[in-house]
Amino acid sequence: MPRNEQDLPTLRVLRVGPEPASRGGRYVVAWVALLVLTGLSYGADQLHLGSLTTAIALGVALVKASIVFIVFMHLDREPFPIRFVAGLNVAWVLMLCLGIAADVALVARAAPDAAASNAEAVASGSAGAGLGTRPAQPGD
Amino acid sequence: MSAPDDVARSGAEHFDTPEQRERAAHLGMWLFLTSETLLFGALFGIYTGYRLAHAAEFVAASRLNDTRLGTLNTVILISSSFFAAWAVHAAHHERVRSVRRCLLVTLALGVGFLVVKSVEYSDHFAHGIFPGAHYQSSELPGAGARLFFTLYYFMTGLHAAHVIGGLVTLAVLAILAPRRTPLARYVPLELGVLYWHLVDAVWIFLWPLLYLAG
Repeated sequence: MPRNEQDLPTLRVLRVGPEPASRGGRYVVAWVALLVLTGLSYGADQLHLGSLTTAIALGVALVKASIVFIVFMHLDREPFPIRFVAGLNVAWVLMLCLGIAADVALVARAAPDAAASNAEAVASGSAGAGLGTRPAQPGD
Repeated sequence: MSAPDDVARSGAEHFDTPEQRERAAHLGMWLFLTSETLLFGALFGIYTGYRLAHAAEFVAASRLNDTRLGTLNTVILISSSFFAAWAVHAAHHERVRSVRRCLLVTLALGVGFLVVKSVEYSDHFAHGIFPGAHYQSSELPGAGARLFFTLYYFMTGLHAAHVIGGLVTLAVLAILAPRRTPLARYVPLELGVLYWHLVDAVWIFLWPLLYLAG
């Protein structure tokens, strides 16, 4: 039996949404919005708000990336399986970053001295596994 | 080559309609983009861990990056994404000249991004800011700053490699565009532009992490 007669459900649900009459206007609005949001992040940085700057910039980055995904990459009219894949992808990355952040914070709270010396050892290369380390030299 | 061979080579026998095949191609492309995002996601995770362990030094090190050049590159990539999207829009309206023009502007902006990046790299090298064990900045000699710039070079270098890959892809698509009819069914163009948008989306997060760290 040919593959296309097996009526695979994955292919059946890959129906695309209707093509809007004109996307040009949406693209221009999205472009301007992205430039304005970039200016907003830059402006917040110039105000020297400390760690709030990063929070604002990352929040703005999330909005900007959403605009790129929804408008430029047409995620709004992609079928459900593609939106599911994209959404799950973002969730995995967030989970990874939050998990690592929680781990570092927990270690620092449980044994602040050990965490600090460990971080310093990794940074200086003496732990032998961190970024920025160099392999042991014969003269070391 | 016979017609059945053509059908087999294109994989068309697996699908009821050409549209169904196009949608499957889109799903495949999105899965590929997912794997790319997870690649950068792992680096974002590493950045998160080291940023928390060396908060003050990461903030100080990010100040050694030129925020204006980073912002300029953000504007360049966002604009390139707009022109790439417009190329697909023009293809849906069968405007081949407009497609090629938009792709050429996208390519020019992509090259501009790399030029600005190389200017930044040169400036860092001149100040002894190299990755890993070669880091020798007198302005910020700390180990946390060395970690920051090792991550900086790895993340921006990997991103630049993706920019180069995207440029090559878009250049090939621009060359082949006039031979494709109907242009509205030029699926490789849509897929190539999707890849370019992802490159833009990754930079949207790299910019605040590396230039606006606090």
